[in-house]
Parts: sequence; C-alpha cells; structure tokens
Amino acid sequence: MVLGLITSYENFNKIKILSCFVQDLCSKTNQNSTLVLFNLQNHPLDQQQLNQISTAWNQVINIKIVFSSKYYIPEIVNHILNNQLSQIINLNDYTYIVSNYDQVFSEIIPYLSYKYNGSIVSQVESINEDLSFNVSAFGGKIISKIEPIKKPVFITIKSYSNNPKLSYENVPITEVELDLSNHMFDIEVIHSEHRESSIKLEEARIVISGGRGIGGKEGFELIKAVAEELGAAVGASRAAVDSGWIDPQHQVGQTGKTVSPDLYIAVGISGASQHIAGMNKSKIVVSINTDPEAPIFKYSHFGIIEDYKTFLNDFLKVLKQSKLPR
Amino acid sequence: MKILALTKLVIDPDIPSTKFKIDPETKIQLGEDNPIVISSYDENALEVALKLKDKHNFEVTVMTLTHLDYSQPIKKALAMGADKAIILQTNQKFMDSQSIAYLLSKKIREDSYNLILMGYESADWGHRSLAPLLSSILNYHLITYAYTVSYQNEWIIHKLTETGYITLKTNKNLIVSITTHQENQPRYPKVKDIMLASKKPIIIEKIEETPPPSINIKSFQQPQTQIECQIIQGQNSLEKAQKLYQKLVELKLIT
Repeated sequence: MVLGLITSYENFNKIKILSCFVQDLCSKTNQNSTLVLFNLQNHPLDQQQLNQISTAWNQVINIKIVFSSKYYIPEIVNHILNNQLSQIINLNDYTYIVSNYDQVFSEIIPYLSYKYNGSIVSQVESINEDLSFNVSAFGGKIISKIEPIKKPVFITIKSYSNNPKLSYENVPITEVELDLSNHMFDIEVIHSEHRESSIKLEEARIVISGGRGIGGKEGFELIKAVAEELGAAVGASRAAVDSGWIDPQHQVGQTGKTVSPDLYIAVGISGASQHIAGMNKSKIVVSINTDPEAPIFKYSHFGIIEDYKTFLNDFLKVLKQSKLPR
Repeated sequence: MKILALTKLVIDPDIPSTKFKIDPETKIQLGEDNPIVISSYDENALEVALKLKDKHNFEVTVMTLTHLDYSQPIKKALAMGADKAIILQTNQKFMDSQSIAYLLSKKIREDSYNLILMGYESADWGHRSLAPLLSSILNYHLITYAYTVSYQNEWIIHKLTETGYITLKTNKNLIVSITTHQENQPRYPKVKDIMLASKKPIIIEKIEETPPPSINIKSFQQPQTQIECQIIQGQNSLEKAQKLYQKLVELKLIT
C-alpha cells in the first residue's frame, strides 16, 4: 500500500501534486492509497478542499489537531506519528510512504526511514515503469535514476507534472481529533511572525526576480512596481537574500521556492546553479543583464543587455501607456 | 559547551557547465582538477558556530567524512576559527544518507557535543536527511532551516518558515541545520588566522567499514537546457522595452 503524508500548512497546489503522484505510483504498483492529513487547527484545510483531494485516494484519515501556539510543528507531527498513529493504521502495511519535499517532511521522513529501516528517495520528479525514480541532483544539473533497495521506500517529491486520472466516490474519511494542548514538548516557540505577500510565488503566472546586479534594497522597489503592473510575484536570488535586500521567503532556487510560471523575468541575476534549479521549469524566461556572457542567458528565451534601472523604467512606461484608453 | 560543525566537501558547484562531468561507471561527479570546497550551507553553519565561540569561547570542532582531498577546505575552516578538525577518510565515492549518518554518529559518540550544526542541504544531492537521521541515531533534539543560534542559559534558535520567521528555545542537546541568511555569511580568514591554522590539530582516521546501501544509482542523464536566446536589439532602452512588450503580448503572456 501507498501512504501519503501532508499537513494543512502546505500549499494546496502541492497537496494536489502529491495526490497525482500517488495515483501514478498506485497504478504502476497496483496498490491502494491512504492519505494522512495533519490538520492543524490554526491553519486548517476546509471541507471543500478536503472533498476535492479526498477523491484521489482510497482512504483518508483527517487528524484534527488542537495545540498551543508555543509548539514546533515538526515536533507535533513526529509525536503523533510515534504515539497516536499506530492506533489508527499500521505503518508496516505500507511499501511506499510519500510526502512533499517541504520543510516539515524533510525533517520527518528521515526520522521514519530510520525507525522503519527503509530507504529514502529524495527530490523525486517522476516514476519509471521499473519502479525506479528520477531525482534532481547537483542543483538540477543531472537527473539520476534511483532504485530503492530497502523497503519501505520513503519518497519526497520535488515537482511532478502529470494530471490526476482517477476519481473515487464515497471515499471513507476517518475523522480523528487530538488535543495536545496540555502536552509538554522540549522545544518552545517564543516568537513567530508571518511575512506572506499577497501573490504567492509558487502559484503566480508571472514571476519577476532580482539578483546581485540590483545593487541594493531600492532596486527591489522598482521590481515591485513592475510586478504590480504585471500582476506578478516578486522573487530573488540567493545573493540578493544574503545581502538582506529582501526577505528569504522570496528566494527562488534549490533551497528557496521552486517556481514554474508562464513568464519568468530575471533582473540582474547571473545564473548560478543554485538559482537555476528553482526556475528552469518556467515556460518563457526573459533576462535583463549588463553582462552578455552571464550564464542566465543560456536558460533564457529573450535577453536584454541594458542597465536594469534604465530598462525597467522604460518597460514600466510602456506597460502604463498600453493601459491608457486609445 | 562543545560545538561540532559538520562540513561536507564537494566539488565546487559553480564550475562552468563544460567542466561538470559524470563518471559513467560510478554515476557520480568526476573531480578532475576542479576545486574542492566546503558545501556552501555548511560554511554558514560553521559561521553560526564561530559566532558562539566569539561570544562564549565555546570549543568548535569541524568534522568531515570524505573521499576527496580535504587539505584546502579544512585549512579554510581552521583559518576561519575552528579549534580542530576530524577527517574521516573513506574510499567510497557515493554513500546514501543513512550510511553517512551511521558512520558519523559512531565518531560523534566518542565525544560529548552540546550542539551539532550543519548545512540545511548539501550542494550536491541536497537530500536534507543528515540532520534528522543523526538526531534519531544520537537522540538529540532537532531544528532545521535555522539561521542563527545564540546561548542564554539555553539555546535560542531563529528559524525561517515557508511564510515567515519563528524563534525557538530549548535547553536540550541539539542538532540544528542552517540555511543561508544575511546574519550568517561566512567570514574571510585574516592573514594571522591563516598562519595560526597550520598549528591547529587535524585528526585523520581511515574508515574501512561500508554499510550496506539502501539505494542504487541506476543511471543518469544531463537534461538539455540549452535554449536559443534571442537578444532583443534596439537603438536605446525604450525601443528594446517596446519590442519586448510586443513579443510578450504576441505570446499572450501579458495583456
């Protein structure tokens, strides 16, 4: 059997991608699927979303978790996996345990692989007929075909592009409520803050990102102005984030967010492999750089060799003029 | 307090793509004459360790398990300020995360570290598995994707989340994986420290044991990423902006 693990904190698109991947795996292995949802009370999946994804699975376990804001999420998930989940399902029944390559499960999956003495296949992009997995490695420079030797196989998904095929009716949903608000954990959250922008990077149709060539915080003001005009999300390279010009949540790359918009505009980005790994699935890439030799042009469909400030100000003018009534 | 900074050695990930070659037999990257460096986030982790040393004079040990030539990168780690280095030498060119965690944990157990730091992910495979595996084996608490660690009678950890920031505290022995941030950019060694580094102890140990692998690399492919880039020409920036706008409208990317 195939087990999927998600938390309600995850981007809903990624939950759908996971469901598609598991369907593909189930059809190739002729197995059934179970979804375990860690439904966190302060950021729950609503009933409509739950109905939408549940049809992709043979069985769904919805664990509603009441907890204190002082709790560290991976610690809660790990606690439930170790203590409560065994009363609901037997993990030994599962050959494949699948989650997204996100922060929480990057932490949880290796724990489980150790406990169940299985293998880990990380950053999976697709499944082969021989049940080996294609994974992205060396910052996306190569795709390696990995064959798991030990069972169970723990899989984290980086990206996956197929569409869902199956849709089940009357999928049994087991509702479980866990109140952990009196439980004592060893790690305490003493402060937290959200910095989410209005347009989510991973869902945006257009992304405009700035890099080292932007030269400072002010450069991002211009990028934000163009983004607003285009209805785009703002991204950044690691160099710009490391310089403190923009919050790390905007980072696009191997470590940051993986984006695949219709249009990606790279401004003052040289094209280090760290960055390419996060944007090379974009449909059309436009790069603006003063250096015609910058590696980013090898990944771009259109190139502009100009000072970015001059060019973006002109581009902004053109965009604004196009909106004037004629 | 004793701090361990784990440093993975990798072939410089920013070499030009023409110099990036995979060995058809082992299916891993060929070293050739490319520079060997500390995997970038491990350098950020070392910087976090050294900031604790600057403030509290905690002892910082760096440890690596490698088949590569460690001399230059380890010299750099010591010049940055680490007190000593432990090199575990292996002939194995590829090991899965579980094997690496197992071999490192055996050596780590010989000493008593209060804090173990390492990069959030390595520059080559990027599995993000080592910190959680070590925390399972060694029974340490775990925090991943952090960017600073400070000490005020207990560990205070600043961490990124996908949507913001959180600050955590604990007084338990801890493994923290570090991601890059403005506040942990690796320092440049001073000339004086480079001189001092040569006097610092480097302990070298040969590892003969090879744990059974849990995964096998069957094959690999290098995706064709060469895209024909059309450089937009024009008399001036405004003309180029107009041409780009027209292209994007034609492609229905903007309206």
